[in-house]
Amino acid sequence: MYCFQNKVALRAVVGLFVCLSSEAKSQATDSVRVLRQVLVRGIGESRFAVGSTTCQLDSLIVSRLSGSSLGELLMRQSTLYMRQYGAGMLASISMRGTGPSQTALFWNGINLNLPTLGQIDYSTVPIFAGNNIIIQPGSQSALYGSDAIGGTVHITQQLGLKQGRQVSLQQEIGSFSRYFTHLQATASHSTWQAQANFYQLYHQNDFPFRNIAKAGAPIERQQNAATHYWGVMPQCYWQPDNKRQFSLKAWYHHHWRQVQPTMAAQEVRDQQQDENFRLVADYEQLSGRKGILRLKSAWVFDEIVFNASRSTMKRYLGQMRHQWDWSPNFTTEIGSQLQHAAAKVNAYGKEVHEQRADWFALARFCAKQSWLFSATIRQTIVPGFSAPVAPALGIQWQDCLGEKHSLTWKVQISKGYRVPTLNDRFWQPGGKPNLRPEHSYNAETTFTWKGNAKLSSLQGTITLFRLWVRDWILWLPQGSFWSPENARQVRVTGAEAHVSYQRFITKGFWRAEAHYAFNQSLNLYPLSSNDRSAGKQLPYTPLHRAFAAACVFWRQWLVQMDVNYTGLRYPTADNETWLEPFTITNLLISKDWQLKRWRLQALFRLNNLFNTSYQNFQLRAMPGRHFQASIMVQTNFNNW
Amino acid sequence: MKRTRSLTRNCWLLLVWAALTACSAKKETTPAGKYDRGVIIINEGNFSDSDGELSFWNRSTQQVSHQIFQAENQRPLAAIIQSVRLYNNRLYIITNRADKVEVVEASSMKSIATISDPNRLINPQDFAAIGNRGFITCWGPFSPTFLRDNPSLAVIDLQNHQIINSLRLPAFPQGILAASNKIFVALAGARNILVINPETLQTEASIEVPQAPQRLLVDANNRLWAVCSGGFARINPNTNQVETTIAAASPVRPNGKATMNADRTRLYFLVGGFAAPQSVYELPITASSLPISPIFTQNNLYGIGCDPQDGSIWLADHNGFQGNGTVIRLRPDGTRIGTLATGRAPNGFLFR
Repeated sequence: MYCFQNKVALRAVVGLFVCLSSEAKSQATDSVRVLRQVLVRGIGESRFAVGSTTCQLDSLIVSRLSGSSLGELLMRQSTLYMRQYGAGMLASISMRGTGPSQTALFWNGINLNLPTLGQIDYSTVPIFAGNNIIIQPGSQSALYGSDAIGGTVHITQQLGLKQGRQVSLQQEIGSFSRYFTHLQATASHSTWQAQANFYQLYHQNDFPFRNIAKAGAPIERQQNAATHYWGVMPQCYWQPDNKRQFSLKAWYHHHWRQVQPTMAAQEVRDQQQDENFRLVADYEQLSGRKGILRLKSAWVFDEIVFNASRSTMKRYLGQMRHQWDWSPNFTTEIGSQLQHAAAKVNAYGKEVHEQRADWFALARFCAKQSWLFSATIRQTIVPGFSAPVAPALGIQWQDCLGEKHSLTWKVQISKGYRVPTLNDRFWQPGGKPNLRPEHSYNAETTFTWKGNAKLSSLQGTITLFRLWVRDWILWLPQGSFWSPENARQVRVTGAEAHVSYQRFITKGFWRAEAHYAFNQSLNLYPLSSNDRSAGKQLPYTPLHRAFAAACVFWRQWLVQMDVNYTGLRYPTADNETWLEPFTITNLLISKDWQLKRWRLQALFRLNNLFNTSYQNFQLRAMPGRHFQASIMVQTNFNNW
Repeated sequence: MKRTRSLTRNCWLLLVWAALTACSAKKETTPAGKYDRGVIIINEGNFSDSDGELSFWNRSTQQVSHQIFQAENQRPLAAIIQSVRLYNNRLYIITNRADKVEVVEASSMKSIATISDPNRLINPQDFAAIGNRGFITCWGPFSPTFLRDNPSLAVIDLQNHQIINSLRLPAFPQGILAASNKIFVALAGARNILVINPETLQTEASIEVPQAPQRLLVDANNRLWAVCSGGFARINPNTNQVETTIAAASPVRPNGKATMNADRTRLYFLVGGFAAPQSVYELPITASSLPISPIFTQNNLYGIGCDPQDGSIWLADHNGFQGNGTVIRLRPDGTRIGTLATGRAPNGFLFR
């Protein structure tokens, strides 16, 4: 574990939670050129996202929430909003006031959004799918291609060398018959590492709730909301010398669940089974005097069986990118990506294939230490319709105000786009093969102030942005069937503010933080003659989201309490009815022991501490106070 | 959130509902109570949110109050409303997605009973009653391939609100009507109207009509009109004989939403095929052929009714299902009186 006598090391650990800006200045200035080890945190592309802000979730907390889904984590530890259709049910994201298909979720650099639906259910992504979770708000199609309108979420698995052989087993139990098991085995050497994960969750989820939809509001137990998932995730990494590295990551996930009905319809018995197989291979090597070549190929298979109706999707992806460091201050990268998607969906009538090609060019320039510029462009070409081009420009200025303070100012303007999904194009009836892609314009500016004292640090960040989304695709009724149309024009005005303070104490530290997001996401024009939605907030897009947390880490104890606030949500576009705001408080306590070869961690989580009764989605019951407890045992065979 | 969520899974279901649900009003008059003089607007609700509700337009104040079920009962209706029928001063609110019938006092909207049965009341659609017996058409459970192959007719004792019988139907039903002391069931999954004896529950006749009968109406001569996707049939309910058939022909294909005018000498019906927008046509009860041109055309029309007191035509506009709906009021000649804001996905009216 961490060496807590050494405050420098500690600072490195706790520093991970803060909002990283992409400021780490030129990283390849060593005279002897070696590949950066994959251990380096962050995502490669974000070097070029000058002017935007990225936020990395604190691994200290994330690792202690490991039985949760990504949806639960983001609702709890960020100001993003998840549209949750019940407890542990379908969770789709809303970032910066946009919709679920306008945020891309990347796992080790591949976009997991399903090509048919254009979105992914965040409840089916366990958070240990990677050890590094990064949120990057704002239109970033110039870096990540389609779907990056509201922003992107990245999960990456960083492997490391020379960590010996370890096995860990975690068993968790929780309220409403929840059992979670996670087994991890790692072996590494000076040139390679291999790791395998196995996990399983069984959750009956029959929590009691007050059924306000029935006369007398009786207390009932939720029916038909069970989940069972399991998966394996083997991966390996090989670095034969300082000039090449290779990694292979595989992930099989099997997810069965009952679909939680509304309060009034407990007898509805829908169920869904998802299967995902993802394989991604990366190769990276130094090329020439100043270049780095990176190759990526991936194969993704997704299957959804809803009741008895089955849809399958396959994707092959190949990516090549070449970075060139002209000087320590000037870096460019060019690359391209090819993707082939095939989908079998009953409503398509036939198997549908789609080819996509992307090209991109990225540049980053650092001037006089305090100025940083980036210019990026990307285009996705899909046969059959006009291809969007997305450029972005970013500027960052940073200055140290004396020894202890620093100020950063960033500006970014960018364009984003979303290529219509296969459903949009090929669903019968209604699909329109020639639908226009959605596109967005994003302008944002960020001020960050950091103050460091010997034992404490304080940081404040504020981001102001405006985002215009054009040609937003909506499925609208056309007589007796539905059809997608480029119907909606949206303007989002928003602000994000973060403040955090941390202080070291003997054998530990404490920290307090507060985060707030304001997203005014307005539909600009009526959709039909009698529509009353013009100038109104989009449905299920809260104007306010906030989260505050305090945490103490002392003598291997960790106590964290977080409070989340979700503002009122409108179920309909005309804002005539609403769901009440809710505040949820959670408590986390853990203790680590190091006993010779063994490391032991005991964990206790009390969720919804004040037993708040709330609905995130209309008439979907949510659990009151409930707990989870776990024991984790880890051994390092090097010590045997 | 059908805009985004699970289109693969739910979209077609919505289509089915959109295509097949309709509700027209049945007239009865009673003395004044809070909800006795006005128009009940039936807001079907969003399929995944189950947020159907009733709105009420007050004749005296000309104002609309929303969510009157919740307002009077302190709980949401929490279902998708297929139809609302008035019988003996009670409203029978037929809902699915929570398969139940809410029985309320018509003048006060106060709940009297909730009828549900997980085995015998599945996907209920419409209601009719004779004497002390209520009859509810049910689609039944969907098969794994979403066929409605196990439909039924639930028989209810209106005194104690118990289901007393469940008759298997040969094809999935839609509208139901009581006339001449008999129950007429429109089998939308076939081309027949079943005639059922309310006492013995025996099928007296199966009247052949054009394809997919949806809705049954009574005209000024006490003749029954079956509004079918394939056209119209005028039936003598005493003899169970079809007197006239008018076959639908493109582009005038009724979508099943229809009403009688104030003196019940004309039908108003909606046509909304594969091409938006929808149109309102009128058909005199003496007609022998289809009307040629519509009296009103607009997108997103989802229900139709006619106020028997002033003859105004009420049209329900679902506004693309993206938000709450709008009621458009027309004079009998098709000119516009005005609009009213209403709840989500309005699909019909009940005039009082």
